[in-house]
Amino acid sequence: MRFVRSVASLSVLWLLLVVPTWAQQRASLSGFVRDATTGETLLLANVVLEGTSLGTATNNAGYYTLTNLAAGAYTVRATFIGFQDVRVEVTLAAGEERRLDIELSPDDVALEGVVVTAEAELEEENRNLGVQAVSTETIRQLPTILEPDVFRSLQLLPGIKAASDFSSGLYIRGGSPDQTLIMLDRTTVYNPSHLFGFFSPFNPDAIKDVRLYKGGYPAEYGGRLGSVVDIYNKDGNRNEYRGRLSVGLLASRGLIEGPYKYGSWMLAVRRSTIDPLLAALRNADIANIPEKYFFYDINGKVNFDAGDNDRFSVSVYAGADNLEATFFEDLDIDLVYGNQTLSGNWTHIFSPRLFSNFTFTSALYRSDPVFNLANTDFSRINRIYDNSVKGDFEYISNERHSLKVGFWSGNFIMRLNDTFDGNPSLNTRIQTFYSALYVDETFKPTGEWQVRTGLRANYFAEGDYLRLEPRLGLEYRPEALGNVRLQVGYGRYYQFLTLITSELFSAFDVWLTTDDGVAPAFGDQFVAGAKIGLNDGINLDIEGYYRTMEDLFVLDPFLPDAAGFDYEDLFMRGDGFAYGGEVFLEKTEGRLNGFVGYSFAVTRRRFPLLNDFNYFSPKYDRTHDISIVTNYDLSRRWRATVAWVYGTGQAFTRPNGQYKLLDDPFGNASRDVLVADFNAQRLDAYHRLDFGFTNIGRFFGFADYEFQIQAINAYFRKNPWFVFTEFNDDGTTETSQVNQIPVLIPNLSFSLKF
Amino acid sequence: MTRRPETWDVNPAAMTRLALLLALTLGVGACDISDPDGFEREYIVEAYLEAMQPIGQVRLSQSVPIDGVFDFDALSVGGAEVRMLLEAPDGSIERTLDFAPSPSERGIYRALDASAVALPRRTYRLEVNIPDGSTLSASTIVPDTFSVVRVNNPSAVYASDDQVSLDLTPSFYPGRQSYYLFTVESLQPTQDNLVPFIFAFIDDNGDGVLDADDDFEPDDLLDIRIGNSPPLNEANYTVNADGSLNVPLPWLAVAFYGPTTTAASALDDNLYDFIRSEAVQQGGSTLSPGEVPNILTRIEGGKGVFGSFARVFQEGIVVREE
Repeated sequence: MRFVRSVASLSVLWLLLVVPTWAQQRASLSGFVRDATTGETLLLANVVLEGTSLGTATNNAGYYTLTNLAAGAYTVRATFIGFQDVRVEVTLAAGEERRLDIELSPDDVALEGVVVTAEAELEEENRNLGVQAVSTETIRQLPTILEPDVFRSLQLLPGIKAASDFSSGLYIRGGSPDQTLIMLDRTTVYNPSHLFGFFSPFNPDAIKDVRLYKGGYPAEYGGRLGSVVDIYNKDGNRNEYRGRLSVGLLASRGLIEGPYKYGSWMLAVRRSTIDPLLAALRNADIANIPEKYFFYDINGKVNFDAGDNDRFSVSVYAGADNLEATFFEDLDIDLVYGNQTLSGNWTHIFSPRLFSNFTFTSALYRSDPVFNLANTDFSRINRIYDNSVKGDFEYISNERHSLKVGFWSGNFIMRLNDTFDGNPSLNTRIQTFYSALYVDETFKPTGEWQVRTGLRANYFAEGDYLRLEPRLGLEYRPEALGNVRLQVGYGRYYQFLTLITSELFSAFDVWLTTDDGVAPAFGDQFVAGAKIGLNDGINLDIEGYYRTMEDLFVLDPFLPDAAGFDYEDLFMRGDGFAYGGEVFLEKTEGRLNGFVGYSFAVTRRRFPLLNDFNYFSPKYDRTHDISIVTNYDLSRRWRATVAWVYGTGQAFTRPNGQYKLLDDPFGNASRDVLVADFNAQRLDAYHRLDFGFTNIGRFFGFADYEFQIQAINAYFRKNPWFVFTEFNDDGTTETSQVNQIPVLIPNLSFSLKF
Repeated sequence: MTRRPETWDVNPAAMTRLALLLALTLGVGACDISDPDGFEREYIVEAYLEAMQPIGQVRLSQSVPIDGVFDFDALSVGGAEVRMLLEAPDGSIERTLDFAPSPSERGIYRALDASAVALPRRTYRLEVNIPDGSTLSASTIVPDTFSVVRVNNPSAVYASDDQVSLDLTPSFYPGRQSYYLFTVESLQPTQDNLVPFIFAFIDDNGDGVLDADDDFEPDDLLDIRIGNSPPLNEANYTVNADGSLNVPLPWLAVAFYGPTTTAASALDDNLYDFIRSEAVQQGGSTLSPGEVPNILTRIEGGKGVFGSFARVFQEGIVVREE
């Protein structure tokens, strides 16, 4: 705990040092930006003073601050994608600290038939290096395999790859899924999947904001080599009681939200609804249909507005998958896995210049598979408990300096108990304290230049590792070029966890940590980009990156049995690198909107026991990816959405030789051996067209309805998933391709919003 | 096709393999796309030493392109010089065993001294000189011998709580715990004796009859007559008061009712590496589907295995449940 106290003391000390630098005679403007209809705070909304170069973005709580303003009259303009711009005239006196909360009304383009043609303007935070945000409306609109899904929507963005149609895992800029930190309301989520990896567990109805840091992420985040997905639940409607009901082919969802005397609340529930289908299939004597399968999610949040400067909230999430099935008569599978999170948040505004946020988080991941085959049991109890506290302070010194400092300390427990045939086969319990302290300073020496420097110190008790992570970002906005930002960034990142997972079946995921002899993995990221705002709400992003991955530690895939091994001997150590370029062209407004993304990517890794310790392409490495997503408002009530993706082939191993051992002393007629260059070949290209139509209107006068009809894989593309080679009895081999979803998948959903 | 449903793996790799099996079983389509590009022919050596048993033969052959057929007669390598060196504890050569080509089988080489046995806890080095100038070499340390102290429940009802178990004296291997491989051989591998799980696994169409509709031929039973575990570590097992290891036989390992022979083999590093990586090559690991690593061989100049082991046998009976 000594480290925690040190971290807290340093935070306070830092603030004490900077607070006296306040300029007393200059005015300031600060407040929340909210959705006028719901009262939800809007994260990363733009707030600018027209006619000046002054502007900022709301933070993760929807709060903005403009300081060091000269006395006088200003036009404050607030913008947010999907909302109508608001202009407010204010006159500030010398030394005045004006609180100005701003409310924005949604566009409602489709219903009203209004085409908003706002000035093309670059949002502040959303246009930072490596950052992309996806609106929940976009997630709901995109054609989807059975159920709208946050991660599958993210997979359409350049730089993010999917392993297959069956996986919602995020492979970002050459990183495996464990290299992405996934947070829900500031709480780490350790295995975000439903249906064994097919879906992510985030109910789009319950979510307010999804923000993705693809790389070069700032010092306030840490613990992963690659990227961050930061998701926030809705606060709940502060103005009126509202609800939403959705019925889909796989699952149904419900949301209710509303105000109460001191704030707002929200409760969202989602549950799979395929139970009757499974029962019908079982009754029709279809083989291998599970006796039981369902998943559910519950999201809830309560806000307590204690005053203008204090807000408290409690957020909960609980989700799980439950499977009971029997295969081949004697193979019984009983599986429960899922996540639970709880977070308590206190937002306190010390002054217009000093904003703070304190959070307590608690995360639980459980996976309890039980197999019984011929009365031979295999069972596992896998638990992760992660309890933490974090504090973040934002201090706006003046229009040139802003500072963020914070800490994050917690206790991580991983428990893994395996039994085989009634006897314990593995008992592991890892408990470790971890802590981090960060400083992140943004300096704008001129209107054209911005320098962002950061330093994060990470301490991980298991192995006693203290690591420093410097961050640096440089931005140049040449006035002569208008809405253009040129950016470069660098960061070092450490990771103290590794994930044992399978692309086939994510329900058995196990996280392991560093320890004595198992040093943390680390990597450097170099990122450069240009953000260009064109006319008519069109933005163009171009980014390039190079990143290294050192001291990667993954479970030795050749280890048949871990019993009796020293912890450090369970791992295979390796390294890797990735580089690439991405282009993202989006049109955010008008009847025709959408985006086009292209990425070029190269990823290589190497491990001692694979490919003779030479670099190889991991399976998820694809060189070229294109995605085109368009929405077109056919009329006031109909919208068409089309998504087409193309990716060059993934890496795979095609054996080119074989031999047999014929004198096996253990009774095999022969041992058949394949000889291959590891992952040296490429599967055929992947491409898929999805489209859908959305109809909206009034439902018997008491609710708005939304009906969606969609088609996935419209032209029945048989995209390859993987290739395997088997030996035939006559000594020949047979190499076969297993396809991804080979047919058109229809999808229907109906939603009521009241 | 080869069927090997009888391993009793206990780690995540086993579950991955199971998931792969389920994915394929549940109707994911497949089509043939073979391509032999990039093949390079290599020499293959195969030789095993069993502790306190006569030193066996050495087999030499070559690999074949993936679209070919491995016909040993056609691929055998004759005219090679083969010898095995027994190292003294100080690393010097204590004895040289020369091998001669079999007069009747090309590619087979046998020790000239037929009485020589493989000594436990000793290092042997195999050296092969091929007429084209290529050389192959490999070393093995022979695991120590061990024995069966007692057999518990030698005649047990299938899937009952009272399992067959062996009490074994522990083997010894320098520098590490022992790795064991267990082999269960049915002595009456008939269709009537198939245990329910294996029957259902073969019965693809679920009609309760094994026939051509299930891609089944009677000779397939011979393929599953013998089942092997993956390598299992000594640390898995309870140590009895007398120092012996109690090794229960999982029912998962049993494919047939009736008399069986169970063998426990302690493996050297070479066999351990070969067998564990063979399992990964067949799809059981944390690697993504379609990622096929090469077998871990410890042969300089070629491929194959020069392995050693120590082994004990025990017979028992699997009784049909009521």
